[in-house]
Amino acid sequence: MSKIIVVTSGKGGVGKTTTSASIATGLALKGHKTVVIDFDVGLRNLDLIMNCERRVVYDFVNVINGESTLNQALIKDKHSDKLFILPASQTRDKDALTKEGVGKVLDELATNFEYIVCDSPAGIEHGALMALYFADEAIVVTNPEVSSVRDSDRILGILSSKSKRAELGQDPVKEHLILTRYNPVRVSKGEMLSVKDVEEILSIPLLGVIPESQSVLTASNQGVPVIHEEESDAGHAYRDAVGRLLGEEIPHRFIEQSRKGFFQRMFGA
Amino acid sequence: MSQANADLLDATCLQIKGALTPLTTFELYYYDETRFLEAVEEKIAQAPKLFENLPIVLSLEKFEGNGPEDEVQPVSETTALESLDFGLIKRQCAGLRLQLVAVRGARGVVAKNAKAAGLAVMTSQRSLAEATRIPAPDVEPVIEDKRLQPVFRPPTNETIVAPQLAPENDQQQSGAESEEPKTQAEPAEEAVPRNMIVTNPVRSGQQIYAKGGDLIVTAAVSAGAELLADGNIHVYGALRGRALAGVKGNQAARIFCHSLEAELVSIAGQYRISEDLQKTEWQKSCQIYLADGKMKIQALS
Repeated sequence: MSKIIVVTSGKGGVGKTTTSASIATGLALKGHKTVVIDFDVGLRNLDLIMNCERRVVYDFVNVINGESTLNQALIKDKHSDKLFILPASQTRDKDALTKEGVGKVLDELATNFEYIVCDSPAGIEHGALMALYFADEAIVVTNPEVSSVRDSDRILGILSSKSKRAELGQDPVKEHLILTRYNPVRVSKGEMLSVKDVEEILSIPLLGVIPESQSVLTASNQGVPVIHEEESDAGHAYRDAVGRLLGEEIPHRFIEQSRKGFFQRMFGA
Repeated sequence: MSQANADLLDATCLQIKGALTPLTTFELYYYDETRFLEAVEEKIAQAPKLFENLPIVLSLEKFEGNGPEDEVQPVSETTALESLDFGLIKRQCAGLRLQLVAVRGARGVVAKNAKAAGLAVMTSQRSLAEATRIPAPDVEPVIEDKRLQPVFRPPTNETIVAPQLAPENDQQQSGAESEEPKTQAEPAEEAVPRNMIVTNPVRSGQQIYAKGGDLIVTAAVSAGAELLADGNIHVYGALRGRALAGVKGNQAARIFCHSLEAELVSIAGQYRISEDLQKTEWQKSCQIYLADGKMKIQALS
């Protein structure tokens, strides 16, 4: 059985595409055949983060319109032969995504892939609705900041009322929370919402906390999903999250302020 | 009105108050003099007390024009609408001790005809909904005060409305209730529960309306969510959104919550916003009710 996972947030710029790329890569590294679809038609980014922008010939909209086959549009990842990318069109608009068209493509992918990761555009408009409509599970990406939490709450409401599962009265979409750009130091100063605050407001299970890290930006610019970075806390955090997504019990890290080293304590840094 | 309010208003002869007045609506599908009379008589026979001197709104939103007999010579919807004799309908209603007061969903010539017959013309629910591009479900607060506009938005398509419920004939213990015209005419089995229980968190942007009864939420209500109930509202979790109890004017309605963090609470049109709420029982378990027309917030336990 293949699983459709939507990565969504409501708010823009919180790390949806970064999370999609890393989660999809993580699933593939664990040996699961995975495809990641960019639903952000008109503002495609996923191919940049996955460093395959130079290999895009056909895209998602071409496949929906029958202008190319699925196999012509799928791009194989450079790092893992279990991972494929279905890029978005940069020239069309989001109305090109129809429920029937998207459903047909997902059905076809389902015969061949274990996991289908849908990278949702920001907002609650058509593109975002199409990305979440067919989802079995949802990863809600949130920053520890009030407006992001509010938008995530809104998206959770939409998931529970407008997804296919909600419409057909099936089991609800399984919800996961990923808190990105988390900085325990700023939390302790009261400048940022804590994990507990966010969990209390959204009341959904926590899949992972991704610490604020320079390596995320660097990795994006280099076109390497941050999960590949062995040295990076964010990379480790994503690897933990993938493990939890697959049902492993892994304690949460990066929530507490790391204990200060000897020199830091000496000099009060 | 309480004594205190009356003193304050010594100088003025009237005060504009927000009031939601429930009105019974007859939804007309087609008009035929005898059939109309028969249909109304039949309805009245089912609940004679309910209908006595009841103000009625005639809705033309679902008007199709042709009855079953018109199949031979169908007329267009417009022709049928324009040929409606509102004076006659009004007299027919009066004969049955009903007061036709207004027409809803009338436009152009039809609206003019209605006005000529001495009827008020009310904004169509449909056109209101079209204006906001949101299909409006069967929710019908009549807003008479601009002040209340932000409080009662036309329900969005995410609104969850309680299923069609039994008529309200024993609503609450309020004495004032007897003057209130009843809204639902169809008699139904007494046993149908009128309360609504929601077990999932109510998210930002969601609106839940418990029509004809209480609304019970056993989870948190997020900021940006809206709860509406004709009766009481219970929230067994944090209430961070808006809660409006007694939206049809039931002054005895109350709001109960585990943690008061609401953006707004309202009972029978009287409301308080978050800023004013912070002074009392904020983030505490409490109940909110009207005493002598004034909103009271009282800690629970």
